[in-house]
Amino acid sequence: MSAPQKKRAAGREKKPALYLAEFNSAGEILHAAQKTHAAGYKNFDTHTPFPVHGMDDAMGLSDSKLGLIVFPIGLMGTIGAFSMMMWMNGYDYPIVIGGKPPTSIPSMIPIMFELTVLFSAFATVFGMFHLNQIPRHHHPIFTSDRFAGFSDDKFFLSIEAEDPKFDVEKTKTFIAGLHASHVELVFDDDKTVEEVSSGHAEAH
Amino acid sequence: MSSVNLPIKSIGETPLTAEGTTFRSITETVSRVTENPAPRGWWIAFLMASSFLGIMTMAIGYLFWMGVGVWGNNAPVYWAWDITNFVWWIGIGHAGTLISAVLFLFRQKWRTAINRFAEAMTIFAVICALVFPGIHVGRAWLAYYMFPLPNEMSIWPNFKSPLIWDIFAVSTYATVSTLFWFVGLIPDLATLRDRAKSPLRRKIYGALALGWRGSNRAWQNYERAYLILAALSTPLVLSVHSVVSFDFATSLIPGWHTTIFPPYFVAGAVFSGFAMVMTLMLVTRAVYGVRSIVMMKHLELMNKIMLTTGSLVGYAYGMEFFIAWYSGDQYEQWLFFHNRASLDGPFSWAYWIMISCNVLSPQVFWFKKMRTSIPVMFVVSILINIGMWFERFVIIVTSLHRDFLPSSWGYYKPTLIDIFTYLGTLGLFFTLFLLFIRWIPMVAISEVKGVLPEADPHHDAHASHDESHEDGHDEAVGTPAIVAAEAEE
Amino acid sequence: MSDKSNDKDKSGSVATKGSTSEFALPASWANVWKICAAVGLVGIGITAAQMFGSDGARAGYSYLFGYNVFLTIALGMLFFVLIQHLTSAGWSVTVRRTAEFFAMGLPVFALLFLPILMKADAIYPWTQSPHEGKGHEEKASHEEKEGALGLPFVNEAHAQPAAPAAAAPAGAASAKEHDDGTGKGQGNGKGAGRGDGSGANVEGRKAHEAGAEKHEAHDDGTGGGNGDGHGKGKGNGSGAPHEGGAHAGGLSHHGDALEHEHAEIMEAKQKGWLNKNFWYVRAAGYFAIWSVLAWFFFGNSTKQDKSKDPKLTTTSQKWAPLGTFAFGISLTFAAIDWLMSLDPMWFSTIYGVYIFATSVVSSLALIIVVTMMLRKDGPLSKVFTKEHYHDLGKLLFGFNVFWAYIGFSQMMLIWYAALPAETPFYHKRWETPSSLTVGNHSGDFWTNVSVALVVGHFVIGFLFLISRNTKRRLPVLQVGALWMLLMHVLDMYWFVLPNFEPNTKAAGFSFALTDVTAPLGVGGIYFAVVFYMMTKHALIPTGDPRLARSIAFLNA
Repeated sequence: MSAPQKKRAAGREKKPALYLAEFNSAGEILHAAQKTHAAGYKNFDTHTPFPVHGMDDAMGLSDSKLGLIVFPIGLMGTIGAFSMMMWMNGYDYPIVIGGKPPTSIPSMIPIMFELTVLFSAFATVFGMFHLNQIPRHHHPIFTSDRFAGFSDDKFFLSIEAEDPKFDVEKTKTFIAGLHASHVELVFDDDKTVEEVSSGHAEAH
Repeated sequence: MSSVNLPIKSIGETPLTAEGTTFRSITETVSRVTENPAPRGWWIAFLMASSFLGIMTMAIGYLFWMGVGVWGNNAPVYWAWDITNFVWWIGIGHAGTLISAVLFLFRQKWRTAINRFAEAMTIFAVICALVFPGIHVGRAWLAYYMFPLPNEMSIWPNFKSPLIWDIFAVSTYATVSTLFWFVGLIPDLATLRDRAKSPLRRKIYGALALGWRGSNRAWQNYERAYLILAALSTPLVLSVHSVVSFDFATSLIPGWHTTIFPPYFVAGAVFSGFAMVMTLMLVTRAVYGVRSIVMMKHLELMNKIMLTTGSLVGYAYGMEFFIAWYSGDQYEQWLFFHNRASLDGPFSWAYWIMISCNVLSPQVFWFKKMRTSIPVMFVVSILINIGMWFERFVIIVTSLHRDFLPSSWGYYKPTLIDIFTYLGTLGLFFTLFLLFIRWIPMVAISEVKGVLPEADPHHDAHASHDESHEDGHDEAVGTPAIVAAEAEE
Repeated sequence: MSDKSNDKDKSGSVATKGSTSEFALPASWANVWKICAAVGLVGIGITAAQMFGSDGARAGYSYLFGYNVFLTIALGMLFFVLIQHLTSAGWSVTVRRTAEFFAMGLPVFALLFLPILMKADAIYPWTQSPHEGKGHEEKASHEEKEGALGLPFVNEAHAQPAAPAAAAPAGAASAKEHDDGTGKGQGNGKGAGRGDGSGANVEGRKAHEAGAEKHEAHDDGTGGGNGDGHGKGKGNGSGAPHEGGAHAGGLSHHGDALEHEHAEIMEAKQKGWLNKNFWYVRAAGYFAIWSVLAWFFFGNSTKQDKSKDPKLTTTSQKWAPLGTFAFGISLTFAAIDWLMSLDPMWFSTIYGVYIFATSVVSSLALIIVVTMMLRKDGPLSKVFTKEHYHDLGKLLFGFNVFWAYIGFSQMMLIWYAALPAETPFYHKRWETPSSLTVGNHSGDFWTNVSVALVVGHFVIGFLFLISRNTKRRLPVLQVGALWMLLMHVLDMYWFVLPNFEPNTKAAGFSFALTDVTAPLGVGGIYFAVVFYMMTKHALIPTGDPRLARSIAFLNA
């Protein structure tokens, strides 16, 4: 596709959504990601059946922010449990049990701990959902039939059209240099996938 | 770099997966179980399990109608099978968390073969356990009194009661285990979604997979979430059985009040849980042919853990016994020497079943030949399941039936309803378990793929390069862009 | 990133060469063992002079404290070695040698045990017959001197007082001392009297609560409510009401019966377990087990440096389970024999686990500190990588939580049940604020130490080490590890010294010079042996087949 064609395509609401390059091994995808990162792309991603070791560095990702979400919420659990017991057993309805004063710290520790863990666990899971923006059941990438292989034994690299460096032609040339076994251009109309190249099984 | 991670044969290291395992074969082996029609054996087992579940429902219905008098509990044995079963089930759950969390933190990669299985077991065991606090309160419809809910009498739970701690501990445990399990399932549900042929199947698994795209940006947060959940679950699992042990240990009853109870209960819980994982794993492995993933190596390692935890439990028994003597406390001494160990004690048979099943039987695992024999490990795992049930029975009933005042001494016998309720929870457990095997990947597909040699990005580089190239990046050095990228960092 | 890969490059070549000489102790460290030895000898010298001189019992406790600070570290090191073999761990190969060196110091502790052995009579109450107050007289006289020496934190008034009230129920022998008015009757409490106190705690507490109200009266030295039971509260000073009054209050009713019962229990214990001959045999057994284990694993590992024989790895792994078993049992009973029996009437089934936890925490902290010092501008910086420290830091964090868990379990259960036989342990280490006398700062010393442990050891340790960044920034982690070591010293102090009764009850706490010289002495000798051995062997196991993997290891 040439540039004028692209514009026309956009006019017909057939905008390119992303390039999808398929690889056959973890090593290939790692190198492809390194090159894509080095080439200055930002909105690109890799899709793999399992987390590939070293990929965060290869893609130039900064450390996950999840811990920063979990810690304060966990602390809220601790403080919440403490205040709950202090108020209920200490002030609202104080009872002396077993000769212990209504507010005895040692007997509060177990529940303080449990609620800390409970709050932290919720923060972890929903924090992860938030950072990963899931659930998201609709995504142009699912338009590609080949993409289903990501959860089996294939490795994909996608460069999204939103990337400031994205250009249908230039990106195509760039992606051809990655030695993918198969490259597709996916449009965001939920049905069109344009095959760009295939058969470069040999990465080296 | 990858060569150093290959197994070193000269010190007996072996690969974690069988020869010839590929990403595709793992996907196939595991997904197939949920896609093919269930084998006849599954149906037979399911019918049996669900009839037991029916028995439980009836036993509990009868209990609600008649009251707890239908159980064998009496004075002075106020607590008996109900709490025994509760503690036993909670304990069984602990192995799942140990495998998914503790072994993860210790980077024991072999766990990937069994973790899903064991985590599922955790959740089902906790569900079975939760039946008992619910029904043993007498008026089960008032069970919500256990929670700190505002009410018209404006009274609150007594937070100094270990039983209330237990409510918090066990419900937190159930919630966190389920969250952890679900997080682990997401990528595998995506695999089932992507393989689904029928639209309904695709919709259901698709909805559950939350639109997972295996994106590395997602994997990064996912892995961190997994790590944090593991780090939370590890102390949680310690705390849960510790809190269960506080139910007993905060009291003054001889045999209950002893400081080693928390770690001792935790070790016992993990011990019994591993035994249950082993029992189920051996059966499932035989029926579904996942031998290439769950190998003898894994079973042997599990046997080693059983030997370790069994010895820890033995250590705790020994310490209790020694300190009972050393303390000079006549009540403790009477309990241990007469009520438990001495053959004159009315429950000494239970004590000696406990000792021989829990301490003696796992000792056979000192020998490699025994550790790698399927019949031996099957029998031992069953014995441990029995022994650990008796441990709780011994603790609860022998301590209660003869306490400080000889005139109040009594004996305990279970009723049919006790037995039906217990067997019924086994039915509940197996029903849930069979449903799990049928519909959910029983092995963590993405995690097992991650420990294949091919999963190392530098693996294939090595096939074609000389051994001396330790650095995996070398083949990319030719590209100027990469050199620049590395210099930047 | 490029740094990392360069490191890997280097380490890769390093691993293939694996020469022993490359990883020898840096020249600047060659004489460190001599300095340690000098410090050790001076420390031991001063401590021994006190122990065998006038101030025997107090210095004996100092020595026991110093000894256990380092014994627990050495045992933790042995456990580290064992557990790495038990789990066939590959990541830890490089740092394992450090632990092996420190575990190899264990045989020295047999030698260092001799002073404890010789002064057992002054340190361990169970060495005395429960029926008589003899043998304490010697001790009491030392205490008297100590009081008279005017130790810095204790004024005369505090050093004296509690004796009358506490000694009163302990029988004739104590009465005699009491008449001297020298305030040393405490010593009598050791055998029978100690137990008496615990038996009477419940009533005792009531008594002292009552006493607290009459607080002012005490300060006046008028006797007050506590002493009423026996009318012997003559001139009770400020610290007195609490313990002294507590015991007295309860015992005034049925002191004789209780005393008799406790004496009987004590006698049974002495017959079966707490007698010197059996104690010697057991101690010999512990040292034999530890020395054999340390030597076996160290020997295998150093032999492999030269032979590169992978079979040595499998041999070590094969014996690790049995070794761990023997280690667990011996550590538990050593803890009971040498620490728990300081209060022979007190017992706790979790005690061995408690000492185990503190051993592991302290040894991990020491591994971090020492390897970081060794790697400074040496070739070791390539083999002790950030990744290893990250993992060691995680273990330190985890075992610190474990330590707190075990400590909390014991404390909470004893607090909850409040059985008179069990509470004395915490009574000694936690004087409730209400029982304090204003103006007596020494009385709440152990409260402060207990709080310092909870806050310093657990809370600060927890918050400091929880962050991934802390564990990966080596200088920061080193500070954390040093802090944990300091807390370990405090922990052992808290374990040992409150059992020295003249320090805890009425007299209040007194610090002794030997509290510093003893750990310096024991630690000096121990470190001298360790650093001397470091001059003889490579600092990493150069022959281990997994060395390259350990060096290249990355935290996932």
